[in-house]
Amino acid sequence: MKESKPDWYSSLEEEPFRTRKFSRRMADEIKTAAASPDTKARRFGKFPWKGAGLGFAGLILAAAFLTNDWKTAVDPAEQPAAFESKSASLTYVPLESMPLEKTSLPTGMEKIKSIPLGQNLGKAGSPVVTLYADIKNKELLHAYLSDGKSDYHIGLVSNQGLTALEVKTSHWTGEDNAEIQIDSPIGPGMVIQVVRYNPLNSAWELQNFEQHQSEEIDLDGDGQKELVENHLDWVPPAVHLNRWNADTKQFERAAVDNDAAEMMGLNQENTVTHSYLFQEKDKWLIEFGAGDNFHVFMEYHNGKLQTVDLPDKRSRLADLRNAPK
Amino acid sequence: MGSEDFLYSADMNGYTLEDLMNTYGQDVWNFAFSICKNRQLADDIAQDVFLQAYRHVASFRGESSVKTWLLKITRNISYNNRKSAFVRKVMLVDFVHRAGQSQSAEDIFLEQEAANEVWLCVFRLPVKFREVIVLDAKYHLSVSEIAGVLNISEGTVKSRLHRARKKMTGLLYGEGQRK
Repeated sequence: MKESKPDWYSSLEEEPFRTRKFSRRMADEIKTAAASPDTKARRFGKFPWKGAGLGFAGLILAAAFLTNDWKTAVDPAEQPAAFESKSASLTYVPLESMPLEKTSLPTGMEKIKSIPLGQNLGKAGSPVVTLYADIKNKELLHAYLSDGKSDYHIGLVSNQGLTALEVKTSHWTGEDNAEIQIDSPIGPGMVIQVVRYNPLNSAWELQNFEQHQSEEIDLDGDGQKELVENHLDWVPPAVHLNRWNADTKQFERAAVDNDAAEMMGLNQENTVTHSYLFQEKDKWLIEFGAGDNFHVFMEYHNGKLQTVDLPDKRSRLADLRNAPK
Repeated sequence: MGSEDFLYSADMNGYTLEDLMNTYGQDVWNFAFSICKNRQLADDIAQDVFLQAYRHVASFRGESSVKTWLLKITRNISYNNRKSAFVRKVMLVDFVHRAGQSQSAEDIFLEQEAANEVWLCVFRLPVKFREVIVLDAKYHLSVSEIAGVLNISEGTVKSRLHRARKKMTGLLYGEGQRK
């Protein structure tokens, strides 16, 4: 006898998520990639291994993973015999921002705190961000924006209550109007989220940088902080840099590995690379490497990477991995 | 195969690729996420699915609907990704989060963004039950189509579907009351 469909099946007619959408940006990326045989046009961060290499690399990496280590490189790179001075411009990819949707302030949540943000945000009135706690789990805080005319849901801004949560104004865009910056403790680190009023479409927009962990660091000592993602808990570790593009009026992101690999002449198609940001003698440096036998050190300066010749050539990432826990 | 499908298989140039993404992009992304439960991986998988579809349209013989074809590619790529996922940063992030007893970003995303409690329960099912429920309830595939996508027999689809529904009932009505 044919089994009848359960009553709850009708709930699955809805799209599974309230906001997540297959975005215009993703479609554009796919079209670009489809039109280009150049693998660099593909989504950054990918390792498009194919065929037998995949299985072989899988076995090596599985063993490495199980021994709490990671070794790399289908196509292992060798350390150059001597230091070579090289530089490369970072390639930035646009990040799509999300318009905030008008909503009512929540009634089923506990109001925790209101934060007025002054009058220089590009919209008449004095915007206020209000934090509400989930009734079931008071560590989960949601932020709502009220601009005097309407209320908007910004989204989840903390899963650790008020600890380390900061709502402030910032000037990442360098424009006359400030933005609202929310430093959110979500997961093990901090996520920086930026809400700005976009005068071109008269809308509040959220840039959450895909909720990657990030921090503000003045990498090149020019007095201007960069929005830096130093993903030490990724395998392999990776450094991404975010910035505002005044021409496109969008935030954008660069994956250091991509440009560093090209700069060093590595075949990224077959090489697993890592990058790691660290500070030494008050200088910020990036170690870029591929496997255990190849690494170089680089400095970041104004959108560019430049190799540097450090007297001590040990891999700082290896040091970190081998440090007693 | 409907006339709409002929459009895609006959001439998948840039324009029709866009149509394909507009029509099925969300379905592909949702199905990829329902297998891997990770937004970044789902993004990557969706990209790979459409690239594969674009590059291998000649292999589409019209024996199934375009949607079923794309879902099968999605499933294959998702499983390949699962097998090699330890290479990928995101899986370790999830692992680290869980080991640290802190909710992962994906757990938080699900709690906050799932459209309703039934979907939340679907995402709590093991993947082999999750995918069969999604294909049946969300995408309305027939048993033979599901068997084709999952590469299993129709009998296995039926028994897996039965067990998946039972598990869902347990999650939804655990103590005699709908949660």
